Amino acid sequence: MRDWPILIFTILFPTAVGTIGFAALSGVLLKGELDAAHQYVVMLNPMLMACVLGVVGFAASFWHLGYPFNARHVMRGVASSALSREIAMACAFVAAVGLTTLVALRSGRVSPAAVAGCFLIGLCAVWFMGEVYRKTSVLTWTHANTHVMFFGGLVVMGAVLGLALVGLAAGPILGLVSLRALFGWTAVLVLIGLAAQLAVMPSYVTAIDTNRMNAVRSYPLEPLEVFRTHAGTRCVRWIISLSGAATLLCAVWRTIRSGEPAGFPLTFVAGVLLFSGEILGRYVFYAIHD
Amino acid sequence: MAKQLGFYIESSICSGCSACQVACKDKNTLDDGRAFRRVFEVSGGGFAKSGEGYVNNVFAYAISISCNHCTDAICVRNCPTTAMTKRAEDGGVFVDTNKCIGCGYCAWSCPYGAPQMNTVTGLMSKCDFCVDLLAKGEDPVCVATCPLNAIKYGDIEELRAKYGTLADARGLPSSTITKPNLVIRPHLGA
Repeated sequence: MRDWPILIFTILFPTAVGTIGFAALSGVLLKGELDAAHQYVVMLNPMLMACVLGVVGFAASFWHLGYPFNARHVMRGVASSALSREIAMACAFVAAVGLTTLVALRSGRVSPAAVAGCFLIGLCAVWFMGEVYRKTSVLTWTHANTHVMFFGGLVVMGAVLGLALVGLAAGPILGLVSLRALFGWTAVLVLIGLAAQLAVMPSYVTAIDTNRMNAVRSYPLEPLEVFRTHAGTRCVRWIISLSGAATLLCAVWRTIRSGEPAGFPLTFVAGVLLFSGEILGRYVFYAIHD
Repeated sequence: MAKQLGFYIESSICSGCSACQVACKDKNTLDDGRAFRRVFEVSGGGFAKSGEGYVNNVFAYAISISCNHCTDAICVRNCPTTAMTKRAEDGGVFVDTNKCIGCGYCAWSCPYGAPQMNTVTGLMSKCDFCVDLLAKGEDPVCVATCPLNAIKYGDIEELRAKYGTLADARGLPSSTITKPNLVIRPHLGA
C-alpha cells in the first residue's frame, strides 16, 4: 500500500462533509425545540470539526504529490480533469465551511441555510472524488462501487461523528423527543450507508471479474490479483462495520428506552468500529500495487 | 491537417529480444522501475482431446509497446495541471515538468502504461518520440535498434495507408478508449 496520504484524505474529507450534513439535519430536527442560542451550541462543534478534518485531509493529500511545488497549476485542467474539479470543489467546501464557522463564532448564531449550502458543495466535491477514480484504467476503481463507497462512507462516518459531537455539546439540554430523533436518524443513516455498500458488492465483483482490462498486458498494474489476495481483509472490514452498526443500534435502544442520553458512551464505541471498518475498506480499495 | 506521428509494430515477426526496450532505457538513462518502451509476451490456448489424440491452439507472441501519442490521450484529458500536452505540430504527447505535480493520475489512467514516475525527481516521465534524434534527422532509438525491423514510425496516415488501420490485438486495450496512433500487424495467435 503506497497511497496512505490519499487514503487519509478520502476518509477525512467525506467525514467532514457528512458531519456538516448531520449538523444541517440536526438544525432541522431540533428546530422546534431550540432557540437560536441553543442551535448555535448544537451546530458549532460539527462545524469546527469539519473545518479541522477538511484542512488536515488537504494537508495529508499533499504528501501524495511527487512535486508539490507546482501545485499552483492544479486548476488549469478543470475543463477536462476530474481531479482538478475535485480539488476546486474541495477548496470551495473548506472555504465555505471556514467562512460560515467564522461568521457563527463572531455573531453567536448559525445560519442553517448556510450550513446546508456547505453540505451541497461538499457533496459535489465527493462526487468528483469518485469520478477521479472512475476515469482511470484501474479496473477495481471504474465501477459505480467507487461512488457508493465514498458516499456510503460519508453518510456512515458523518452521522456517527455528528451524533457524538452534537451529543457532547447538547446532550443534557435535549428533550426525549429530540434525543430519540437524533439517535433514530443516525441509526437509519448508518444502516443506509452500509446497506448501499453491501448491495453494490455483487455487481461490483462480477463486473471486475469480467472487465476487459483483465486481459490487457500493457497496463503495469494487476489490481484484480491484489483484490483477490485481500478477501480476508474485506471480510474483517464487514465484520467490524456490522459490529459497529449493531453497537449503535444498542445505543439507540438504550436511549429510547431510558429517555436519557444513556447511549452516548456506546455511540463512541460504535463510532470507533464504524470508522475502523471504513478505513479498512479504503485500504483494500487503494491496495493496487502489492 | 497537421502531421500526427505514430508507430507501426509488426508483432508477427517480433522475436521478443527486447533490444528496443534496452536501447530506450539506455538512451533515456532510465532506472530499474521505468521503461518507456516495453516488450511483453502474450500467451494462451491449450490442448483439447480429439479422437485418439489432441489438438491445440497454443500461442505465444511478443508485443513492443510505448506511448502511442493517442489522438484522445486520456493522460492529457485527466491531467489536473495541463502538464501533459499534445503538441500541435506532430501530435506528440509530452510532459511539461514545470507544471507536473507528480500526482500519478496519468499513470493510473493510461491503459498502455506510458507515463511513468521518476521517483528521484517526483515528476512524471514518458516516451518523447526521441524528438532530439528526429531533429537531427535520425530515427527514434527503438526503431533504429530493432534487428528485425519490426518497428517503424512516421505520419500515421501514411502508415495506415501502407499497413492498414488495425490497432487492436490480444493483450492490448481497446483502441476505442484513447484512439492510439498505432498500427499493428498482429501475430497469428492474436
